[in-house]
Amino acid sequence: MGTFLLTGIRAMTWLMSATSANEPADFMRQTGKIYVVYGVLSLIFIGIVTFLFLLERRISKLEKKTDHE
Amino acid sequence: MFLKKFWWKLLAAALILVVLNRGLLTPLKHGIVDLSPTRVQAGTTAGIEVIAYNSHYDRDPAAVRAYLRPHRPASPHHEGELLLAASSVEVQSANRLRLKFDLPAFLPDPQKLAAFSLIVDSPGDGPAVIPGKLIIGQDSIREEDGVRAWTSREHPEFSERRKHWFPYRNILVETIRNTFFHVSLWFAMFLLLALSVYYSVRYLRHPIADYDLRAFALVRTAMLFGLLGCLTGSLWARYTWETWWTTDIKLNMAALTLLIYLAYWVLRLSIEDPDRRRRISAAYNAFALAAVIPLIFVLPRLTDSLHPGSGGNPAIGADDMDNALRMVFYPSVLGFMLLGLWLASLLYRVERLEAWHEDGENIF
Repeated sequence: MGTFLLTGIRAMTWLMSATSANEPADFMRQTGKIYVVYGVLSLIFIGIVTFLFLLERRISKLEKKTDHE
Repeated sequence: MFLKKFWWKLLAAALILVVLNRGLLTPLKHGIVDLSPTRVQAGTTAGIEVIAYNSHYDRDPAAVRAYLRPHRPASPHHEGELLLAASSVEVQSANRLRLKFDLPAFLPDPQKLAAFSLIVDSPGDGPAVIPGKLIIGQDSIREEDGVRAWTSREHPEFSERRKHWFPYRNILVETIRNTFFHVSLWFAMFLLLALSVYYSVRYLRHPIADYDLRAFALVRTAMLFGLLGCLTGSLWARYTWETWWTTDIKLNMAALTLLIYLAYWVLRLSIEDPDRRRRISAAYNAFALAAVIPLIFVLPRLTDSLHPGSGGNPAIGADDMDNALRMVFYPSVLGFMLLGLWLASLLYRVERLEAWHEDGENIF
């Protein structure tokens, strides 16, 4: 537990030192706003997964029908 | 054979993989984030602090050079380059400099205040410019003397640029990579819509239900891409234009496009008779695209827009894209188009099976 906390604190201080140079504290603006790109990619991934999820429900219904016949 | 039928899906996956790889791992060129102070006086020694991005000044501190150049192009009768080299360059860290310029008493400018660009050149990073950020003031104007004092005898040779790295732009910084994802979504959306109109027109000429199924599946996949385009654009705008949604014409027209297709969907649901539904929605679809093209491609160019390409320029002109970006952007557009076709074909195939099952029930 102690080492875990220590690692956490080290990671925090590392993050702070990486941003303290001249970057704003806002998470999304750190490291040249790279997290905005991460957000955009996540959104696209979520969109495609939602599409697959909805499609799968319809396929399941079809399967049920086919099993019925 | 398996590959014969699926090669374009593999191509889609491969292209998107390449785009993720190149688009996320290619570094940005070195750029100047800020300098201070931004207002100095001619005839003094100006100390200027520079903050840079993606620079490695500490690798070879002695080789880092800095220059000032008038932001406005020099008057036409003047020959030679107006450039003032820094008298001292002190490298404080990899991305911080302290510069000293011995400014001549007069500026090569007929005004009391003039804007100057700062150029920093470092061997590993190449040259970087921050245009027109430094304002220099002068008490009395003697342009001839200014030009003489600012004409540089040496012609500095800048280090080689990294050709394959992405350009550094203030405000955008790393989010320039979103071009590959956000813009490609819109391009793919238009391909899907155009294809759906192709099938709608085919349906109007030969009323075969299959064409209608294809057109509807394509429209809904295009709507998914359009919705994702809006959401990703909104997130991008939040951290560059500092708002989730602006009254920018292209944004509102994109929202309008989504509404037009939402109406198409509602229209389909509201008509009971299948033949009438197919015929009316096919006609609507053809007119919808005809309405959408001026909304997105024409109107934003006639008025002012935050998007690139407003005011008459093509959207992917030389100012907005460089070759390094294009090398990733074009594969990305193709990849997203193929991915869209893939998703639409899955939707179409499921619905074809559903229709077949329903017909089967009707018959038996």
